[in-house]
Amino acid sequence: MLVWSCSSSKSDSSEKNTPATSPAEDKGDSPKASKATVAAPDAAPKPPPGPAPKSVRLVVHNTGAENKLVTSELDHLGQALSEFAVTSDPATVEESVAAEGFAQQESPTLLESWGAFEHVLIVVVNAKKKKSDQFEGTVIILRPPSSVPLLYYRFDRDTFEEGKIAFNWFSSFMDGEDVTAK
Amino acid sequence: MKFTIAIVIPFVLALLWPSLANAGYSEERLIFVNMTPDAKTTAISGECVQQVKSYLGAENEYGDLVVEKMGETKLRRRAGVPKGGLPFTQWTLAHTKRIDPGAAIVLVDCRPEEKHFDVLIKGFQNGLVRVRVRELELTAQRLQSIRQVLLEHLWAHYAV
Repeated sequence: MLVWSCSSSKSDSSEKNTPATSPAEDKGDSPKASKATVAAPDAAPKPPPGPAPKSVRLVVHNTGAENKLVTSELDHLGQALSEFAVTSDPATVEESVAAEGFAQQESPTLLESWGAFEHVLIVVVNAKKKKSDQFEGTVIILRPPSSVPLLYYRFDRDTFEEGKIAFNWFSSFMDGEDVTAK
Repeated sequence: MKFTIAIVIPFVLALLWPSLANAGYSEERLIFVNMTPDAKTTAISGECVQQVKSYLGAENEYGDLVVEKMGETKLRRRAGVPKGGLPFTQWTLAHTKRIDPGAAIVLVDCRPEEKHFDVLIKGFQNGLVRVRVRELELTAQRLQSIRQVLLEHLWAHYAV
């Protein structure tokens, strides 16, 4: 299982958030065999004084075994979101698992824990090793405390190419003032 | 002999012309259905649906697309889902195959006044994609963004 998360603000673009996998994940070990939470770089400089920056909580969760390829695809998302800047704030495995559940049923507890963030971006994918035609995923944007997803995007029985379309588009949808405009 | 050739060749060419003219070019069918509930249908929602439809059906780099009209009643009959049944956003590949196994399918429910947009799309070569937007203004920019990704999914993996 791959867990990749960060919180971010648009005011600081000096850092990049890059998804990463553990060596075990690179070998395509089973989800049960490898659970990892990957933290963003934690040497974040202090933001300049001023109004609190908008923040985005990103939780990525792969329930399948093909982490290497997923990481590669998610890099599109990470690169696009890098302009939102990054502070070190890794999600726990529990949070990412709960986020996966959120895609099916909302969780008041989880929403409360996300209250400090202006937006929450949940990416849940199920990438099965060596079955590139069985890639499915869900992308959700939340604006706590509302439990209603601003955007819900679901693709199934597709290929990684489809995932790339989704991630690239999602990045553009997320970009700039589009989703942050109220 | 010359007379025979003069007759036969034009005849054969005439028979082959449609396929020769379309060589390297595709023509595919798209079933597009407005799923906005009647009670929620307004001029604005109709315009929204029409914009999506015209964009998907417009000429593009991939090939010709014939957009087929189909009413919601006929669609539901084929899918086997009556009104009030399973929401179309939860339909599966099995439903879309019952509707038409050889066509791409786009089902849209657009209500800009309610900040409500649902679409289910079955492309030519891929699985299903569902997009739902809530609590966001369906601005021209946002709608264009949605239409673009629908078009990409529609033609994904398509080989001419």
